[in-house]
Amino acid sequence: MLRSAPVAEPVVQIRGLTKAFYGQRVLSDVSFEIERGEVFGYIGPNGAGKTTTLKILAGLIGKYQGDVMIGGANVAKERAKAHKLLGYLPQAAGFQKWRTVWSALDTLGALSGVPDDVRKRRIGELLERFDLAAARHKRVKELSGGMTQKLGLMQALLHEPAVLVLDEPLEGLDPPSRSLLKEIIIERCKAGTTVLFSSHILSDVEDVADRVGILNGGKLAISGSIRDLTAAFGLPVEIGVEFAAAPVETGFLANHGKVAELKHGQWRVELPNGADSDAAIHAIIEATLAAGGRIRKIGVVDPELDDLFAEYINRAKHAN
Amino acid sequence: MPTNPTLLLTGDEFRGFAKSKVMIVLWVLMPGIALVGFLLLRHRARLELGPGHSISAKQYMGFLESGIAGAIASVLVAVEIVSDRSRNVYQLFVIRPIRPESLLWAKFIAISVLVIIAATISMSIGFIFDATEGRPIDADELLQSGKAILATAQGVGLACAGGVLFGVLAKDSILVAVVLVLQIGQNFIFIPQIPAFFGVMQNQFWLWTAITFAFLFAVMWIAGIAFRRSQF
Repeated sequence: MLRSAPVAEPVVQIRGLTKAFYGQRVLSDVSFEIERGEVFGYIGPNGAGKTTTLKILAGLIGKYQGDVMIGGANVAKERAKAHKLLGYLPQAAGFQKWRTVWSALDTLGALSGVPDDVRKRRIGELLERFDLAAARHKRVKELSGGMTQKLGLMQALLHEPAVLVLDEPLEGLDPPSRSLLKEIIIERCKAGTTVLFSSHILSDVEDVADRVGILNGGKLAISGSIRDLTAAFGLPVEIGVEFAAAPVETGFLANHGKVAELKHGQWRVELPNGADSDAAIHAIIEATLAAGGRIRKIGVVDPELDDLFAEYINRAKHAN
Repeated sequence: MPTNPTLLLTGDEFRGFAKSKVMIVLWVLMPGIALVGFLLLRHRARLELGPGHSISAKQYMGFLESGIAGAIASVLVAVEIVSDRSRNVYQLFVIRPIRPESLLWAKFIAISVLVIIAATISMSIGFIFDATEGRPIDADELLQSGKAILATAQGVGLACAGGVLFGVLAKDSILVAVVLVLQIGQNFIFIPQIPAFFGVMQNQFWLWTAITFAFLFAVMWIAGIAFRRSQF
């Protein structure tokens, strides 16, 4: 099977997903949708239910309440149809130890319906890209943790699925490999692949995700773009200023809000609630030029996902 | 033409098992037991089991090898299934558009065929001994040995099917799998012979064979249902 045919949007639909293990509820009424070509970052504290959600989406857990659809196919009732669209990386991908890297990819690719000639070409390309070409005949038991993780990623990408579900894909990868994976995710999304991935490394989620969902205690607390989450949490708007040539004095910055100097020539101004950020930027530019300075960069700074997540956890703690 | 998943996976399992340490032990252990057995029985053409009832040394070794082969096959396949499951090996397969039962059939076919081959080689050592002793091999003895090998294959197949079933039911506990196999699975081998105990269908070798295969498929079918309903 080559690249999956275009599917109806949204590509991933989860409605009212509820799951309990031995009477303990791990997911409560989780609902969200992911559009075609979108990257959805799924974050939350340990034990929130992220892996359970992803496993249900991959069809590894069958008994649950709610509807889970991939490309219009119900994962529970139209398993084969849903699986044709899916590429999945579990949290700890397992391979039979006697398999070689090539044999693992070849068999999994064949089972996904990739024709022989296409499969061999793609395996070669992926091995080169992930820098595992020299290890193609190595047995899985001889691979390091990072190499096994790369093998897991390759098997998920090999058949170019319409939907990629990745559980902690960056775990165990060195920095160049993490950059490579993020590059691949962005490439695939531009080509129309939909990605759902969970990660503890929030900065990596931030680099690639269009939207983020925060799961806590089995409930999807909030989801949206980082801008949406910023507005929802009411976090203050900050303006970042970088001077190419510092003005004679910088006291004018305090006229617009709380000021902090990050390092020499770089400042952050926290605007009060309701302040007009565009007007503040305009005023800062004029005051800088009047004071003999020059600006290299100025603009609204989006809060980091770490900040948003920390803010959410803090509020959740106080609410309890 | 799309690849048949069961054939593809069976080929892989053959390659994986044939080179494994367990199989090497099997290929050495079973012929070794046969060799010792025939050395001990070399001066006996027949063993007396009771008044007017005797079996050849080859038949006796056939029964012994059959029992050993069945035990090895059933424990091996159960442990393999549990071990693969606990290492999350199956996750990457069951998310593919294949029938999950293909994984079980591949394991079953690969292990049972390799064990049957090892048992057949072991049982054939008796003919080598007969040749060295100068004893002629008659057609009837060949037929009986052929039936013994077929009976061994049936026994291994049934025991292996039991191993598959209990490997699936035991989920991720190797201990549970081994206990279930040794306590219950081993007795599957006698089920097709129940009619004979009641004096019904005696000397109906081919009927027993048909019943055996029907029971084997039933056990594998149940294992497939349990596997499909599993959560990974």
